Amino acid sequence: MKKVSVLVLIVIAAFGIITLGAGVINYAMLSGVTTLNIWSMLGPNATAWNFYPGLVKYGSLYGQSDKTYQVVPNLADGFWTPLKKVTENGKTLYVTTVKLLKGVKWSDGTPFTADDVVFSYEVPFKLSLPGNWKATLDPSIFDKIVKVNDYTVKIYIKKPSGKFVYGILMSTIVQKKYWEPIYEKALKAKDPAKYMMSYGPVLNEPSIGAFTLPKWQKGAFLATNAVSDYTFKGQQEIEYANGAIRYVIPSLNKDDTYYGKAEGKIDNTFVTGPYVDSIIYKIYQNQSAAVSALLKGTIGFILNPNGMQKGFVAQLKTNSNIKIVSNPSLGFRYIAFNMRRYPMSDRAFRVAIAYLVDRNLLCNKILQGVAIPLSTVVPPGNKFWYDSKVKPYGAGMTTAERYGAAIKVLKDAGYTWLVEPKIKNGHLVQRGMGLIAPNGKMIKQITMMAPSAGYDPMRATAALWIEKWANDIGIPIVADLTSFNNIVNAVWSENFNFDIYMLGWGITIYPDYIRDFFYSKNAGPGGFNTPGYDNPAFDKIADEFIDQTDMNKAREYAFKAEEILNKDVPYVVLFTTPMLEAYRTDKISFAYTKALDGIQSGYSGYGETSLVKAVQYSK
Amino acid sequence: MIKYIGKRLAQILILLVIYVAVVFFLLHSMPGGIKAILATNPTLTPAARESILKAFGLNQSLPMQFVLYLKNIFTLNLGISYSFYPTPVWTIIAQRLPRTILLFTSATLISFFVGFASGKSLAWKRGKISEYVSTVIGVIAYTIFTPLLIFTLIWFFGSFLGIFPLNQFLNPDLWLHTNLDAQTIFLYLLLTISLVGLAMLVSFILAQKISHRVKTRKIIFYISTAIASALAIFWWAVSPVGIYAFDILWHMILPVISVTIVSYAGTMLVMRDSMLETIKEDFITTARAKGLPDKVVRDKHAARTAMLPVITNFVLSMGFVVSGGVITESLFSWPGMGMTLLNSTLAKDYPLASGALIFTGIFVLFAHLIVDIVYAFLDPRIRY
Repeated sequence: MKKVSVLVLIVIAAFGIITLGAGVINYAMLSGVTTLNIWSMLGPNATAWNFYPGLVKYGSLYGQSDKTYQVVPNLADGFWTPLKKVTENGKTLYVTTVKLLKGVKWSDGTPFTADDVVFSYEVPFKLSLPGNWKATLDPSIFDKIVKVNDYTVKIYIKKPSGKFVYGILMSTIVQKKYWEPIYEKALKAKDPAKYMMSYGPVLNEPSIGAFTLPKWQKGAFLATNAVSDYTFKGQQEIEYANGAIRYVIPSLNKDDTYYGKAEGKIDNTFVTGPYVDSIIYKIYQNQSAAVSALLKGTIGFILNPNGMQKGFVAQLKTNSNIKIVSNPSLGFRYIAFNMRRYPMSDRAFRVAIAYLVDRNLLCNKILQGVAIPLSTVVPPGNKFWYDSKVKPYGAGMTTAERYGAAIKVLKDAGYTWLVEPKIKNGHLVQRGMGLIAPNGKMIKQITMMAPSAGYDPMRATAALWIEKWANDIGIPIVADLTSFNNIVNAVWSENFNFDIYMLGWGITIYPDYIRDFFYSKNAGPGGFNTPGYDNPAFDKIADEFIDQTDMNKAREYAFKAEEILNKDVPYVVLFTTPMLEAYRTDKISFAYTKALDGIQSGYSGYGETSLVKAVQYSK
Repeated sequence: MIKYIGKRLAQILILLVIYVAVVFFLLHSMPGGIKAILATNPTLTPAARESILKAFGLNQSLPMQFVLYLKNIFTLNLGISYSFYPTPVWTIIAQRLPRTILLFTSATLISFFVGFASGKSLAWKRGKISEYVSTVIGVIAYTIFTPLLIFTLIWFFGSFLGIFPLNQFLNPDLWLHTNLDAQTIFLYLLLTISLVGLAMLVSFILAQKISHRVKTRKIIFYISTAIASALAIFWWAVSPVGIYAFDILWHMILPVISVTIVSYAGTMLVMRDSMLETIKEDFITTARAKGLPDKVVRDKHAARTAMLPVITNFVLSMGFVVSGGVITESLFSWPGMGMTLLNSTLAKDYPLASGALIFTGIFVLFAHLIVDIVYAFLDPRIRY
């Protein structure tokens, strides 16, 4: 009995000592990690849960700035040289030179050199690794990488493309010294790709990031350790209101400014850590368990790519140490017109519908804040690529004014009614009936397919209100609330068998989806251009945009494309959903909490790992 | 007896083939189909896709695929998981199984003994208030909505009183400073439980051989069990890794309580009903007429006969132990076989889902065999 008591005391003391350890923060994850092998993690096992702790060790030549999401050098020394056309063995290629930062070290003290870069590009490319590797080092664009000297590489591509910047130049870099012996063995194996991807558990891999990841207790937790002599520790990232961004790296004696001059108002300044000794990623199998742990203070923040369920927010709000953060998700819900059919092919008709959709009323009053109004395909949170000049139809109008504007557009285009809608003293006093097209034919029932309330109550509600607004002015839209699969089948499998449909997209910071969604060549069966939008002027601009490797020029084309889409209305973007997150203010402090897709997003360093501070420790 | 076991084994093999066929055709009838999902899975390399197609003959006709599938099953080739590619299904099962077995075996054993003992005394004390109260509590426990029970237990013991951990199977703050793999501790704990169980079995057999007196047998059995248990506890207490085993056991308490509450009542109610039937039998009246003590009549004559259906339930539920429990595992963050089955099905990871199902099926079929053999020992009327 005495022994048992002593044992219990030892356990309690051990728990006490350990939990009081300074500079350790705890994150919760809602699912286990399946691999820490980077070849597998960016291949068949590309899950957010693997990325959260797994990607802290790696670097890339270029990355994106915090909050403004501008392309900035990471392990590269300045920007790449302009692409030059060359011919090699009868092949036309485009080549660029990238200089690397000197003085960067891996966590084991090995210097970072061009050998690491070349190795990191060659392995996934030569082994044809699937998943993200294939997308990043797209074989239709990437050709080869050549070492010029220890701190210079040349990258050859088959054609200029924005994917060269957002894919190839941002590909993950690993340490050659660690992986080369494994790669050599893999090449002798029957299936080298499988050999590389199944190697593990990779706990002693050197890191070029702020943390190493030496501990993985499967199904329970992972723990990172801060790299004490992290090269970028103390790096200042200064974001100016004029769009310029300055990086000061004391350890490398570097001070560079990109996208303009470092002058005027400063919006943000971030100083890179790590500020904590360790981040522990505790694995809970469901959100309820993680919420309980957050309430108890066992964890400081919940990492979840889907955000927090609304139901938990009220419970968490009762704790004064917990802060709820709401950010727009990187995606949008929209309605698409089938422009292969009349009257959806008529711009006036689409503009009238666009006028009718009152997003603010819908999101803030009807849906009571569970959705965030969004009117453009590029969200305002995507600061670099968002065109603030794009003004959606009906912005700032009341419902009656919207009715009036929609009626005027239809009238101007030659539409008439059997019973014309009337507005008096700011109210619709007579509903319209029997809309007649300019050719004299009555407009028949138009079906708008939308997900049913069981699948997505927000979209179901939005569909019913759009139906009401349209019916009020005599547009015979009928909301068909149906299953998600029915909509997908009608749109893609049944070769665009719809009038109007409502769905949603998840998007990326680099808006190459603009071209995918509206390019005329993508309007065929199974293509992404579901409206069948066909505008040669847009196609030309979209081509120019996608071919640009100078991001400032690419942005100019993206803005033009956004303006054309806003004018032509193949889509009416409706809203996005909030990414709700919660963290304990008495445990951790983040450098910023307003971020597109939330703090958990990869754009925010998967929970701002190199910026986050432990509250007790920082005091 | 050997002939009987052989016959039952042959029947089980046939049943296994039928079971595998059901699993196979069910999976093939799911929307999309295995081949289509495999072909459209962008995360697999062409070589991997090709090797899976070849290994499972997915390019061949459905009957041929089934034959190949059977061959793979009987050669213990469960394939490679899609969602953990390129990890073999066996590796994943081997990783999850010890966690599930430790938790659910403990819970099943405890709920069996609690249910058996309480059912036995309830029937014996028929008509008393304690019987009505226990029966009502038992029915409530048996029918309660499991997540509600678990949430309540977590809230009360974990959050409100703060006595037990909220969830997870270990405390990361403690395990942070060791290179020990929790899997090793789980295996050692299972080994310890098996050794103690073995010691109990040996002492039981020895007791039967040494003495004819019930009292002496009981003393031998209880003392040997106590010594075996004390030795096991001592070993863990002096072992440098004992603290980690203690941590896992500490985290097991709430899940075990939950599973016990939910499942003990079933055993209790079956045992009670069975006892009530048995005590009406002539041989019980004879035993009483012989002037045997009440306790001997209850335990040796009535309970032994009445426990047959309870034993059936118990052994079958031991077979199902390997399938774990989705709700318990999920709410206590105890990733085992239940979560594996659920997640692999949701992720359309057919090799893992079918592997886990077939693995469970084999255990349940073997449990059936054990039930049949145990019957022969327990009921002298059963002869083969």
